[in-house]
Amino acid sequence: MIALKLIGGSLIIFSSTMLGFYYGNRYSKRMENLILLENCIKILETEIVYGAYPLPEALFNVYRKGNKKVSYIFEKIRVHLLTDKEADVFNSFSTIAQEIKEKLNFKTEDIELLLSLGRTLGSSDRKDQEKNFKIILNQLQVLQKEAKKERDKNERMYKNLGILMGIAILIILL
Amino acid sequence: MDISLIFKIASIGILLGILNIILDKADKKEFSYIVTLVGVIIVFGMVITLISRLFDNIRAIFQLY
Repeated sequence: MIALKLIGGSLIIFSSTMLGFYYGNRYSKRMENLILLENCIKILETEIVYGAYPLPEALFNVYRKGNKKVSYIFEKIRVHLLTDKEADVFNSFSTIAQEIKEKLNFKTEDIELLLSLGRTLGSSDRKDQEKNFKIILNQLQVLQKEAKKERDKNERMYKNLGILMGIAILIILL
Repeated sequence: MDISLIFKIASIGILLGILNIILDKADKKEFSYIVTLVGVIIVFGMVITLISRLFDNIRAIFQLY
């Protein structure tokens, strides 16, 4: 009987701790992915403004050079851009919006920023593109600051909360 | 008289204190209030039978039927 109680109690504490870590890690993952996305967009800027590659090739170069955790979305955009002959660049960007919200822990404003990049991409000359990239990168910096603030505030709280809730449930059941 | 109930209530109290501090630090005052309330309700649920028994005993002793 005691062994059963011990096993059950450790299971409860383990699962609630894992839950707390899962919720806490979402914040640091968003922060990390935003930094990686910034790197990818910087690579894309160099490819377009200084390399003057066509868009599919530039996107493929971003996929190769960037961190694969985030840069795979540019490969997806490229594939969609090449196979779908009717839609424009923005349409290709919006196809991945839902997916990255779930996989990369992005918030709606992060995705909106990426979509606004898709809206302006390839619609004007090189100087204009450079300005657009600057605006996007600036806004990305702001989002990163906000994500960092949120992470510092919430991550530790969720982790502690998970452990303590597990112990509380155990004591009440005991 | 079951002495383990007292220890249980004491440990719940300690846990609630820690939870309160953590939630206050994370700027979630409303949640800390709710957590305290839930803790009080749970502890009340534990002792409510004992309290009712106490009142029954008092009534039996003083013959207040």
